[in-house]
Amino acid sequence: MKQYCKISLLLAVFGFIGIVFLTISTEAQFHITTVEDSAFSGKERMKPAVPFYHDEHNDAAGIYDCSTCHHVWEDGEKLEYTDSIGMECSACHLAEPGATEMDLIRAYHLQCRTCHLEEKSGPILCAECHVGEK
Amino acid sequence: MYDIYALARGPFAWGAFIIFFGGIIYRLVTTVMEARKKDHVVFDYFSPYYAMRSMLHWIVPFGSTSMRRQPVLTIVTFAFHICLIGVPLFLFAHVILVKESFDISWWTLSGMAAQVMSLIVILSCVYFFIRRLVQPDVRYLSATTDYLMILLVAAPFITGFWAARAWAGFEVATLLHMLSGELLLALIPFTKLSHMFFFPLTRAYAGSEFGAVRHAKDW
Repeated sequence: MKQYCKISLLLAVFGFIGIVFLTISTEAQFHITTVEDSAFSGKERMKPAVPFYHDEHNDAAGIYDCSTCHHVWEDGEKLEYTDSIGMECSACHLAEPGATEMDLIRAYHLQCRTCHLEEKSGPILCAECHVGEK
Repeated sequence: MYDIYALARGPFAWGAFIIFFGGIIYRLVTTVMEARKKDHVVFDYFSPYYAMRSMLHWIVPFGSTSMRRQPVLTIVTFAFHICLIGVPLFLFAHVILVKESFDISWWTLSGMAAQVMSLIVILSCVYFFIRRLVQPDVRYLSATTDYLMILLVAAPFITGFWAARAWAGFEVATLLHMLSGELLLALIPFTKLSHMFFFPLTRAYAGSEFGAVRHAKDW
């Protein structure tokens, strides 16, 4: 009986460790926790990356259509049933000739704040998103 | 909070800038028209050369006798004015707001520089306030509105610094920052702060009279 207890305890511990490992590795891969774009990496930035919990945000906001944020615009119109998943924002928002990081920042600010103001929910002031020292 | 933000960012901002620029034009036009009626001799003796000479002496640090006699005040005043105008115009957070609304942008200060310059403005305001209270001749000339003006100027910088540092209560500080900045802009044309745009007229007036009439220096 004692032996049985020991084995099951051991199994439980290993199982728990396994679950923790699995969770951490999948979280690290798929769980987005900041707003990031390679256009900002390696550059002097005014503020650190904005914390953004992708799945939690969409659950809370009730966003199930990816193209709500991952939009595609053509000739001044947002295309329906088309999304830009897998593309970085800078792929379009830095693509215009003469575009600078200011254009990319503008896109992020307008995207987030416009919706938050319309919905009267979510951060709108500078330091609500830009937390932490640089 | 969303409603106050939307108001401060939209109609209040438009109102403040329209009153600011409209007020400047209104005050300049009415002042010049009044001078034409009451003090026509100003226009007879107006001299671009003496006007420019006077402006130059008063815009360069230690360019006037008065400035050389009060070195501390001169240094504080120049540092104050440079930071007062420089920070709002070249603050990254301000330029990005303009970029968002109008898709135009320009050179910006680093975060550290902007914070140091804001502190210079705030500390200068403290200096001006104490100076008004303590120095007998200045105290004699100070009305309640003069003290209020200093607070009015300091308010957007104190709340802005607070918002930028994201200290506790920064939400309220950010909204107060926007509102106090807009109030300040709207009041500039109609208070002593109008020296911002009356400076060239005052100097042109004094410079022309001292130069062309009295053949003397006005600095």
